[in-house]
This record gives sequence, structure tokens and C-alpha cells, in this order.
Amino acid sequence: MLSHWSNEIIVPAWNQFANTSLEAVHAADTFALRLDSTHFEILRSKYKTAYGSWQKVSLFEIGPGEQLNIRLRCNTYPTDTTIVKGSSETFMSNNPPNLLLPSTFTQQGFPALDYLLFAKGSIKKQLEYYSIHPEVVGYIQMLFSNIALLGNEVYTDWTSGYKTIFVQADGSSATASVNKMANDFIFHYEKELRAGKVGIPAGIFSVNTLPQNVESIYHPEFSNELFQVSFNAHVNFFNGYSFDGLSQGPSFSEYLDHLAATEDTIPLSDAVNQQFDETQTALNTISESFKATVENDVFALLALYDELQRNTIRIKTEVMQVLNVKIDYVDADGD
Amino acid sequence: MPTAIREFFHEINKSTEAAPLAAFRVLFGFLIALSIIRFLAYGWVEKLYLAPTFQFTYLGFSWVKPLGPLTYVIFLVCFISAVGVALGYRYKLSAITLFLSFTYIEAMDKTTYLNHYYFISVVSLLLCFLPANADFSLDVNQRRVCRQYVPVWSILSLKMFVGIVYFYAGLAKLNTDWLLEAQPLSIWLSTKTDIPIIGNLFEYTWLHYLFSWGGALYDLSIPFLLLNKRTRNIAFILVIAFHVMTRILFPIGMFPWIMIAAATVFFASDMLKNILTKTFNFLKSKESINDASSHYLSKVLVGILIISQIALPWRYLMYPGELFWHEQGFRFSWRVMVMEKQGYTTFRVVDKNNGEHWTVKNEDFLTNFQEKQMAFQPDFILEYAHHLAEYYKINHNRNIAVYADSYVSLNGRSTKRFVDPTIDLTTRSRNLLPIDWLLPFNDIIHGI
Repeated sequence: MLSHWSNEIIVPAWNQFANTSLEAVHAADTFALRLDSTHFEILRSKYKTAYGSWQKVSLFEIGPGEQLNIRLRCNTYPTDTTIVKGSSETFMSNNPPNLLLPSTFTQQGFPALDYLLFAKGSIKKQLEYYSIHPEVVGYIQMLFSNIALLGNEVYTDWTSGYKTIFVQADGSSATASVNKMANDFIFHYEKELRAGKVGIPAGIFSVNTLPQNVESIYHPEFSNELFQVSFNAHVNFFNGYSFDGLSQGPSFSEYLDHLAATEDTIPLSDAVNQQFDETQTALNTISESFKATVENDVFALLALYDELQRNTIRIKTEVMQVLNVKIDYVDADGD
Repeated sequence: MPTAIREFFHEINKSTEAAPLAAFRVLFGFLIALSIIRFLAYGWVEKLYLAPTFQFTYLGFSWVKPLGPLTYVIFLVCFISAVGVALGYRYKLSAITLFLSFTYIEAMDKTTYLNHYYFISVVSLLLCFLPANADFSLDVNQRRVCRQYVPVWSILSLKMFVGIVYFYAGLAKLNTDWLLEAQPLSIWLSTKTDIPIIGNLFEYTWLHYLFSWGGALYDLSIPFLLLNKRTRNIAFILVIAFHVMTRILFPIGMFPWIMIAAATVFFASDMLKNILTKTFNFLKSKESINDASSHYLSKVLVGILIISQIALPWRYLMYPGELFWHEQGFRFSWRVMVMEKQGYTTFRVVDKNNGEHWTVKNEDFLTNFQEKQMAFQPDFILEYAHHLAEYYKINHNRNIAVYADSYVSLNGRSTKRFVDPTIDLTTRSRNLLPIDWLLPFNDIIHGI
């Protein structure tokens, strides 16, 4: 299972992310030289491709990614527009902000780029803005190259040693890879997909709805696609589909079947997948951007949240129980 | 008084060699000292007691809290007193300090409750009343005490307590989930196929049943096999085999070693005396005064302790419904590894003044470990709900109602809603009365 996961799913995902983020760097560098609308459109498009491929690796922070804090560095949203504006307009390439500091997580990554590439609206207005504040373009280049460096480092770490460590940690202890992946999977599903992308903006955890907390808020029509890609990454990983989608291998789903886990009368893996289907159905009813949905038809988003929540409950209780996942290394005697 | 009872009291007041008591004292003290070092080495003081901002407390003991960095001092005191007990140095003071410091540590947050910690607490309490320093101790060596003999009851009480632990652990397994479904062992063993040599066997259902029935039989019979001279040696081999196996299969820390050590108290005093003479001769009593008199108060207190240990596990009978579901009377009853329970519990809060409502992010208040433990234990859920109400009152001046969305899966059953979602938990108080805010289990587990 571990070699299938790393060879067919995780490493290809990081490879794609490293490549697409590097392409975005090139697009940003070219745009910085030309500052024209053609190259700005290319830059936006490369940004979207890289952000999309980020959604496929976010789930696999385990190991090198975790050490680099890559999820927080690439995708902490909402971004702090005041700081991003201030930092970018006064940016000096010989004195960049220290992006390793947790306090800077809200001024870097894709959400900061979302603001810097889309907040002014039309391409014309963006270009006008850059001509008044040329430093901003340097800041954009710096953010892209940081993302690409991180992506490349994680990919290189995986291929130059961590993959072996990952595959060899094949026990059932709290530090074994299957156990860690199970924890990471449910953590990401619960906190990033369910809460971050849907629950928080829909106002589940607050008195009022928080449309400003939608992912990709300055380019709102993109939020649905980002959710879809991330959701698919979860479903595919649960079922062991290879990154290219051409083959299927060992997975949580298969392991549950091997352990003959059932929910009432049906296989537990089927119950999870049926609920994934219900979630997709709820997603399909959302026609506007997540932001517009929060503002105009929050019940549609709440319905999506409810479907996501059903599998959160199922995975955190039945699935974790059957997989015998430990959340932490502490002594236990089963009571 | 009937003759049999009179004879019993006469017998237990006779004197006997102190060696078994001394051996127990040495092993127990050193193993606890080791446990403390292990606990510190894993960084668990920080992780389990200092990092959390909120602690789950025992009813009536909410004043027992971590003391910030001073918490390390409690661990230090506990370590020193454990060594003191092992060496028999100022024994009574050491034993009392050990009991108080260890129990304080355990009471700081019940999230970490383990039966074997409770075992250590009770044994160290028992040791406060036993003359375990009568031989092979610094106290003897430095002539503060000069007795080589102890009353029979002092050793008997330890044997009885160890016997109670095993026997009740066995009784707790006599239920239909354990015996007829091989649960929860079936869940736990199925994923252990990576264990060398025997791992492949864990695929087979028959092995889950063998382990279930074997475990129950072991727990119920081992006290008697250890008591009986003819079966003692084979029983001790079984003790070692059983606990080594549990060590391989489950993350239960020091417990196996402590139970193996505890079983030595059943051995004949000659043998233990020989071993101690070879290893701890420098602490040997040079004089042999046959004085095994003891204060009657010690006897009475030890008697009360043993009787309460026999009675306490039955308190669950006072609560209606399934014990594994509501868990009232579950702790402090030697129900070791008898259920697998996973829950997921979130809280909806409603401002009673303006109707504003939202769902609480548990991670803002609890660690992962606390959240996991809270999710399926009703007393945790209630205490946390009260904490939320207090938090919003103090920090936001809001008067809130708290509703739980709680789901639990027990021993492989499908997940069911656990807490009645229509009940405002701030209207329920923490006490020992039967809980009326859980939804019914809707299944039956027959047995004790």
C-alpha cells in the first residue's frame, strides 16, 4: 500500500506541483519584463494551474512538507490585504520579508497572489496599478519563486530519500506511515475541505457568514473549481486511484474491505463512497461562486457542509475504529 | 464470632518473614521511578499537562491542577519518593509522599486516566500502612527499624489486591461482545499483521476468539494459580508470557512490567529471601527480632481498602442502561481493554439573549488527545460544555446554551447519535446521579 501511495499518487502529485509552480515563476519573470496584457493573462493562467495542482498535494503534507510548514506558507487564507499591500508596494528585492516567520503566513502563498493578481478587477486596472507601483511586480515574482522553491524542495526530498523512509515505516504504531496518513487524511478532510473551504465562510463557526473567508476571494468563480479538485483528491486517495487516474491500487477503501468492515448491512467502504456521491450532488446544485452563494443562497453551501459532515463523522468513528488508528503516541489501555 | 473467622484473624496476625514484602517494595519503587523518567523523557509533562489550556477534572477534585513549571517539581518529588520506597529510606514518609504526589499527577487531568496508573495509586496507598521496610531497607540498615518479620496480613493484603485486579479484569470480559463477537480484540488484532512471526495469524478469526477466551480465562484463574504452591511456577511463566504478549500488541507502556513484578509477591519467602540476600545483602537486617506486632489502625484501614476495592467495581449496577455506553462506574473497576469506542462530538452554542448561534471549534480549547477522549465519554462532554458556557460568560459576556452533536461507535457497531441534541447541557449538573441526557444504546450487551 505504501509504495503504491508514494510511487503512484504522492510523488507524481508533488512532481506536478513543482513543475506548475516553476512555470508560474517563469510567467511572472516574463511578465515583469514586458508588463503587457498578453503576458499578464499568461501569468494569471499559470497561477491558476499551479493553485489547482496545489490542491492535489495539500493532502500530502506528511514528511518534508510538514517540516517546511508548506500548507501554511502556500495557502493561509484569508490573506492580510493591509500587510500584503504595504509589503508589496514598498518591496525591495535586496531586503525581502522573512517569509519563514509564522507572522508572515498571511502575506504569502496563493491567497496573497490572488489579491495581487485579481483585486483590481480588469486586466487594464491591474496593469495601471502595477505601473504606479512597480515594486508590486517584484513582490509577485518573489512569492511565486518562494512557492516554487518549497514545491521543488518537497519533491526532491521525496525522491531523494523520504520515499524510502515512508515505505519502510510499515508498522501499526502511531508513527507508522499508514497511521500518519490516516490522521492526515481525516485532518485535511475535516479542517481544510469541510471547515476551511465551506464551513467557515458559510458561518458554521461564527455568528454571521464570512464571505471574505472564501478561498480565492478576489477571483471568486475559481473557488468552486479549487474545492472540486481538492474533493477529488480525497476521494481518489481513499480509493487508491493513481495520480494519472489510469490505475487503482491498495487504499483505505480496499483495506476496509479486507477487514470486512460493514456499516449496518453494506460494506463500510461503500458507505463512505455513497456519501462522497451525495457530497458531489450537493456541490452540483451550487451554480454561483462560493462567495456569491454565501451572500445569496447560504443554505446551498450549508447543505454541502452537512454532506461533508456526514462523512467526517463516519470516518472519525467507524473508519478510524476499524483501521485502529492512533491519534498520538501516548500510553493507552483501551478505556 | 464463628470459629473459622476467629481462626482466620489468628492466622493473619501470625508473623512471617518480611522478604516478599521487601522484594515487592524494591521492584515497585524502582519501576515507578523508571516510569517517571520515561514520562519525562517522552516530553509528556509538557504535552499532557502544560500545553493544554483546559483540564478535565475528577468530581470534587477540580482544585487539582497543573502548577505551570512547578509541575516538574511534583514529578521530581514523585521520583525521589519512589526511590525512597525502593530503598526503604524513611519508608513511611516516602510511601505517603509517593502516594500523594503520584495521585496528584493523575488527578490533574483525567484525560490520561489509565487503569495501571490507578493501580499504582492504590498500591502506594496500601504501602503506607504496610511495614515493608522491615528488612532489606536503609531504615533497617541505619537501625531506625529492627524487625525481620511482618504480620501475615500485610503480605496477604497485597496478594488480595493483585488478585482482585486480575479477577475483576476477568469478570469484565464475561459479556457477549467479548465472548461471542471477540470484540474489541477482533478490531485490534486484525491490523497487527505486521508483527514478526505471528503477525500473519491475526488475519484469522479463530485466533481472535482464542485470545478473547484465553484472556478471560487467564484473568479469572491466575490469582488462584499463583496462590497455589503446586501451580505457582507455571502460573508465573503464564504471567510473563501474557504480559509480554500485551506489550508486543498494545501501547500500554510500563503496565506489563509492573504486573509481572507484582506477581512476585506470591512467591515463597525462602526463595525471595535468597535472591534479596544475594543482591541487597548490604541492607539486610543484622538482628533478627521476631516482632511482627502492628498498629490495629493499620489493620483496619487496610481492611477497609480491600473491602472497598471489592465493592467499587459493582457500583455500575446502580446505573440503568449499558455500562459501555454511559460509562458510569466504568473507571476504577479494572475494566482493562474491554471496549473500543470512538466518538465525534461538536458543540452548538446559542446565545440565550439574542438567539445568535454557532458551532465551537474544539481545537480552540482542547488538544487532539483531549478532544478524542472527550468525544465518547459523557462526563467529559458535560464538563467541557460547562467550560464553554463559563468561557463565553467571562470573555464575551454571553449567556449561552450548549447543545452537543455527538456520535459514537462502540466495538465495531455502526455509529449512533450519542447525546440528546435537544438538551441544553448547561441545565445539567455534574454529579453521580444517573445521566438523563444520553440517547439509548438500542442494543444489548449481555453479561457482567
